[in-house]
Amino acid sequence: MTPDHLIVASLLLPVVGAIASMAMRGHFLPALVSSILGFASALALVATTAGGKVFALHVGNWPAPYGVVMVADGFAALMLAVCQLILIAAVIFSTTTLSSRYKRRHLFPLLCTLGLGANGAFLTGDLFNLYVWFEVLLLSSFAIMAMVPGKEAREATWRYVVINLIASLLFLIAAGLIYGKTGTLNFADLHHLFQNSERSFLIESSSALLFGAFGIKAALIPLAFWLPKSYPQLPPAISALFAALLTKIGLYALYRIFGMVLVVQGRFPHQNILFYLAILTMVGGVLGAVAQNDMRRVLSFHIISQVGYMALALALYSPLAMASGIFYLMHHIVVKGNLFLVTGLAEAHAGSSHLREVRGIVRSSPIIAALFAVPALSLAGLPPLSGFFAKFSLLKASLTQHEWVAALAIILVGLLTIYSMLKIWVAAFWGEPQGARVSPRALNLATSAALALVIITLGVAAGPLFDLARDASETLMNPAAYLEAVLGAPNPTTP
Amino acid sequence: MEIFVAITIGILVATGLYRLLGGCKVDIIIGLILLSQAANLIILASGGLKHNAAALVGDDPDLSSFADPLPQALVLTAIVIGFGILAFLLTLLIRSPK
Amino acid sequence: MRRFSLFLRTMVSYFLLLAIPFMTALFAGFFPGWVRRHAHGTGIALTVIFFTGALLLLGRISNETETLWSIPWVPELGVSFSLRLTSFTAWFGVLILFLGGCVQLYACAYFAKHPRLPSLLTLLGLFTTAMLGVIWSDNLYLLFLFWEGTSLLSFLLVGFHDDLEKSRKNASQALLITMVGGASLLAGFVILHGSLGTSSLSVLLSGQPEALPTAAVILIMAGAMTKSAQWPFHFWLPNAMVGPTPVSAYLHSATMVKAGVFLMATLAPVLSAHPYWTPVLTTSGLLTVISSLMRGLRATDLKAVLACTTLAALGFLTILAGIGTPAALLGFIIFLTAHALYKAPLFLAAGNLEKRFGTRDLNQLPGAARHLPVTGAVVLVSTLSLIGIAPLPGFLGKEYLLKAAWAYSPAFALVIALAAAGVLAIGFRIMFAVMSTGPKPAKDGEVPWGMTAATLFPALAALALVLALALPGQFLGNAAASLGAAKGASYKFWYGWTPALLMSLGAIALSLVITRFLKGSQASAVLPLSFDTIFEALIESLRKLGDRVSALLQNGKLVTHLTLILAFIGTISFFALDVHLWETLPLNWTGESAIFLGLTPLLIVAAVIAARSESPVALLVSLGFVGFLIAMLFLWFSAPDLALTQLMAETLILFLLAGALAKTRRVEKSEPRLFRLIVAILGGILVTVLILKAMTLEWHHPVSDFHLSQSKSAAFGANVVNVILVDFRALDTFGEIIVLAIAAMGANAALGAARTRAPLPKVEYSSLLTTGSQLLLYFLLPAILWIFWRGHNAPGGGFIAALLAAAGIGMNLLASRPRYTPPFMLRMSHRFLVAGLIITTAATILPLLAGQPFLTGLWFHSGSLHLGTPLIFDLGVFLTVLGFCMNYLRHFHKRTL
Repeated sequence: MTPDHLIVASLLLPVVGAIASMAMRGHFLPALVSSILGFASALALVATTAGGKVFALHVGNWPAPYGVVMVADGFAALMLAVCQLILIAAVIFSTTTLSSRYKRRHLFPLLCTLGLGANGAFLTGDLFNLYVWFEVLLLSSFAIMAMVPGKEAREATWRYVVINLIASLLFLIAAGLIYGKTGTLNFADLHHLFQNSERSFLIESSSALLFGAFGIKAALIPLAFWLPKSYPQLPPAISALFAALLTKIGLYALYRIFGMVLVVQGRFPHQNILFYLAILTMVGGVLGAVAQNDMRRVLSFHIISQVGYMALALALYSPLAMASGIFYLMHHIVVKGNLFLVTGLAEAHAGSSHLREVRGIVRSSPIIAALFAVPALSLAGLPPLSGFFAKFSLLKASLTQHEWVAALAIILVGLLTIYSMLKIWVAAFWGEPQGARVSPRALNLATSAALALVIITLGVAAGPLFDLARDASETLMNPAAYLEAVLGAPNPTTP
Repeated sequence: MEIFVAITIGILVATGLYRLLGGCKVDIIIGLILLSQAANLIILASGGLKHNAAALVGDDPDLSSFADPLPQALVLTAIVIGFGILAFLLTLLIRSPK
Repeated sequence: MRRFSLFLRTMVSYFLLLAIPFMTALFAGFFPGWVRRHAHGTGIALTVIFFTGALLLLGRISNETETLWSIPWVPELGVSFSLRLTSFTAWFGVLILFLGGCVQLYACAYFAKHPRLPSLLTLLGLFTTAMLGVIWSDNLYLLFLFWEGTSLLSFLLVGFHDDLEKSRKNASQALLITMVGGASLLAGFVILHGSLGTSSLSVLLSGQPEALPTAAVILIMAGAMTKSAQWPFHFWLPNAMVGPTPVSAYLHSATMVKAGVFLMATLAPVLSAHPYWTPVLTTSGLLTVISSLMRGLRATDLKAVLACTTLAALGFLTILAGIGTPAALLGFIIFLTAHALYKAPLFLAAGNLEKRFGTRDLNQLPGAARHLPVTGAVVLVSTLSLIGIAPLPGFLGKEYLLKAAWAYSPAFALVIALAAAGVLAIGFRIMFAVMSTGPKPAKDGEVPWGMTAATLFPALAALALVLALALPGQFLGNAAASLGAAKGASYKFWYGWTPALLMSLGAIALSLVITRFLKGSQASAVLPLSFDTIFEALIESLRKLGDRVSALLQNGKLVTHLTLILAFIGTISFFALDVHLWETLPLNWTGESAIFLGLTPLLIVAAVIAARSESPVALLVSLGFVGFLIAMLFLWFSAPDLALTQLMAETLILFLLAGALAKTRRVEKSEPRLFRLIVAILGGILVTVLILKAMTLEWHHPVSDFHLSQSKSAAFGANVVNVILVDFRALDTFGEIIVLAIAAMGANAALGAARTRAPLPKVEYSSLLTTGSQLLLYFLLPAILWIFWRGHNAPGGGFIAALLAAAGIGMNLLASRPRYTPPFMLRMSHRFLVAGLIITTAATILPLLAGQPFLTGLWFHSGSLHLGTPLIFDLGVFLTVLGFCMNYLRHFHKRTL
């Protein structure tokens, strides 16, 4: 299969899955099949783009920048693969843990469209097209969230929807303004334009709007207030998917647009602001996590804190830092998704997720305890798991650049993360079990174990994976290959 | 002419924001409606505004007499997407009116 | 045969010893039932395995060379799985495996009936692996990996009795402190690596770098100090005694805490050149010794007393590593060995005593020796070694310590000797408590033979060591040399009447005096301010801070958050505006804008009314005006398609809004007017400026030029906008209709199942409305088809046609025609949506089958008639939009209102 076919497959598989599921009254099977096939094609893309290769699909056979381009480079392929993996896990967990009222209400077609939005966002090479896929993604998440019953969930949904709609509006306005000032919407073309003219400062203010839009989606502080209220309301199968995916796509957009398109001579607009916001986010998120007494809430705050890490990697903008950031993205999607799923298992097993009400899971279900330990330790950054390499490489990057504050923040936040995980372990996993315990389903355990295996593999195989991340970051920082694939020449003349 | 358009858009944004911060759900929806209208106008206006330009392509090779079609297409897409989202928002409103 | 033995001695075989404890751990983990049933047998088997390993390693000590083995892991970051075996690390490995065997035998006997024995064995096995990994790592980061592993496993082991609150608390404390140390260590390693260019210990130790980064040295020292419980990080060690006795014996006397001093000693040859190294470490070590005396002389729990002597021993080892001279490193090894061989059996003996008498209280133990002769003998030998009576290993340890200290600084050596006196006093205390005769103790428990044997082995080993050292052959000489001592060094028992010997004799005398003195006093053991309370306070303030932050992040009204978001983004945007474009602002107006001048104020007025009005009717009307006037603006700016779409979409939105408003009751809570006004006005001004900037730039648009020029020729359409939507940028439209499908599903998800529970109201049908709407639909049908068809070449197209159809259907629904019941509409909408999506997707796939890229237009021409896949695409769009509208409009049927 050529890369072109793989790109098309990444788009069409979720669409066909959604349609089939809709036609079959919301059956789960099309969703499962399409996500598994999607994962396979994403892995194939990772293999094809290894070594810094970039492939562009000119949709409609119109040359760039006149039509829309879909571009597969190492970064996009890696993100595709990891997100599809979590999607598979989410589909399986939805099948086994959610009641049928969800299925009657179109859960599985919506999971497919969510995957479609994600895939489209990763692959697109056009600013407005990115907006469209973001809307697909967002609206799918709105619709799924709307299914959750209960008054608190409804309030949370409303808040989530409104804030994200503001973000969408900002994105839309920014896209319009950028078109007006540059005449093009194509990433490669935009980048090329800014290199060759002195007009890059034109878009400082419009890019501020973009920064805001993506910052809201990625959950940077002070734009992150929607997250702690909304995620804890969701059932674990769904929150795992959202936690793993949604904020990362916002980060992906930041990486792609600020880390590649808008880069002029090694710097991009608002880089300093991003740096300080990143540190603020890291610290604020983990402090919030430390104070929580409910497993779901702790994990939700951790998302914010970890987003700070990845934003920091972007703000540092050195080859090592970018590679670290991309590795971190991959690692975090898998780990966060797995953590939410396992705490869901623990909650179903012990009857509650509140730390004052649960005790002794190690004794009543050692498997769940072990399955929790793997992603928890990875999140905390203990070697040889993936989280260690992610944090370590970021630490190295900041020390190399003499950013002492950043390095200190990385270490302190890491310690606080360990502390909050310790808190969960000591309260919920140690001690004597009380109350009735429900045995977890084997399929769920198997899925979570598979994810744990992936986490371990990410750590053990960190060498080749870090190389992949490095190649991906190369494409972002020196987009000659990207430009060549899209526009046909690494340095096209200005039309 | 441009200054009028700009001021109009600005006032639309201001009214939309004013309404958005009103506090209850209806306020937010009205605010969002106004703001999305403003956003559409922004896209169209940024592309450059021409009055009485040709809209349909004939065999006329003079490209400068045409209005820029791309922002129009973008706004169309934005209108329809906005339409869909707004309809969904309204269902959210219906089920919990306060 | 020789080749085979050569192979056996190669690097691989020794490093395989790392795998052995790992395997035993896995075995215990996967076969817990078997282990429980054969507890004693498991103990014996484990002991045999571990002792064999130790023996194998013993043969390695005589080899002077350093063996390396390496697999790359992440070369980019300098991380590789590299192991190194030197004479010293082999000897340390012997100690670890030997004591590990003893401890496992002990544990199997101690916990023979305990249900969680298998977990304990697993943890102990994993811990041994990690410890061996620490001492055998060549790569700094690999060392860190195993280091953190030992911290984590220590946490699980100390907190083994996790049902006890105290266990959980102390284990957590130890973990946190060692994790802080670990982080510090990692940072230090990274800086060191960056500065010296290598992350390999063997490379590091082979050279003498000119400049050592201070930050790295401090951080590494701090890390090692936390692990070995040096002042000020010393307070976790006594608290860790809540763990089971075998755990304390292994971890907190012989292995884990030794990791820190091990690292210090290993790095000492290189790092002691740094000015901070010696002062910091020697001071910290001394302070540790002194503070351990405070408690050790007064505590009554035998384990606590032993913990204090461990602290002191670690302090002495730190001092030796701090001094860092070859003589000091020579002393280091023998002190380390001696301590391991006397401390472990003391801990195990404490467990025996507890098992037999039910108490560990020193004051209640007298008479113990008589009832447990073997244990008593072991205690005697071990305490004599602690005190430093020749020819026991402890004597050698003390001698070489004082020798090295004297060579470094005689005054300092005297201070050490004084401090040592206190430690020796503790030793005497233990000895007297256990050896003396006294009343018969209360409990009469039984000590399993396994425990006694395990207690005996280390003492026997100590005696064997004495023998080995006495014999010619420089036993341990190579080990010392590999660490950094002088080549050819050896341990001799008699050096003459050296100052060291005199000091140690003096210390013993002094300690006897102290012991006698202490017997009388009844001092309390509590200090007013302890490190424990400081630690607790730190954690508590952390929690409070966290509470504040999380309150900030979680609570708050939506309006507050929205304002914050808008204000923040607005501010960044504002500061990003570049000022010098202000000159080019267009402030002209052209004369032809008469109609335009009429439109805009109306628009403004309508918008303001919409902003302020409270009644639903006013809202609807003003919003309607806004939408309508914007459509007129679109028309004015030469965008007919847009104007049509805007009109239709606006109508439908108002329709839905009216229905929604009818069902809601507005709650009269409004935010303060002034603040909203300010934010609104500021936002408006910002946007105005932004848009002015965008509008004034003279920028040519090559993309649109392409579209305009190619539209008729390559895409066969005169309506460029439509061509863009269904051909040039069809992917956008594809996503857009999927959005509509999602919105439809979302509405169904949000509203739940159809509410058909209540009896449906009797509906009156207005015949005028019914007939009228039916006729309307018939008239609309050709219009719809015509608009759809002509879209490619004139204003029109799939959207507008669909919206028109929706309007017609909407009328029918308002008329509540019995045909169009909500369930019927739901089914139809579903079918339309699915059909539309299928057709659109088919239009995208068809070109693929013809070998063209995705979404390319395939055309069939006949004269001036052009049919192509974009038209199929448009049909799909039509169906989807229609399905979407039907889904929402069905709610207007009277049967649901």
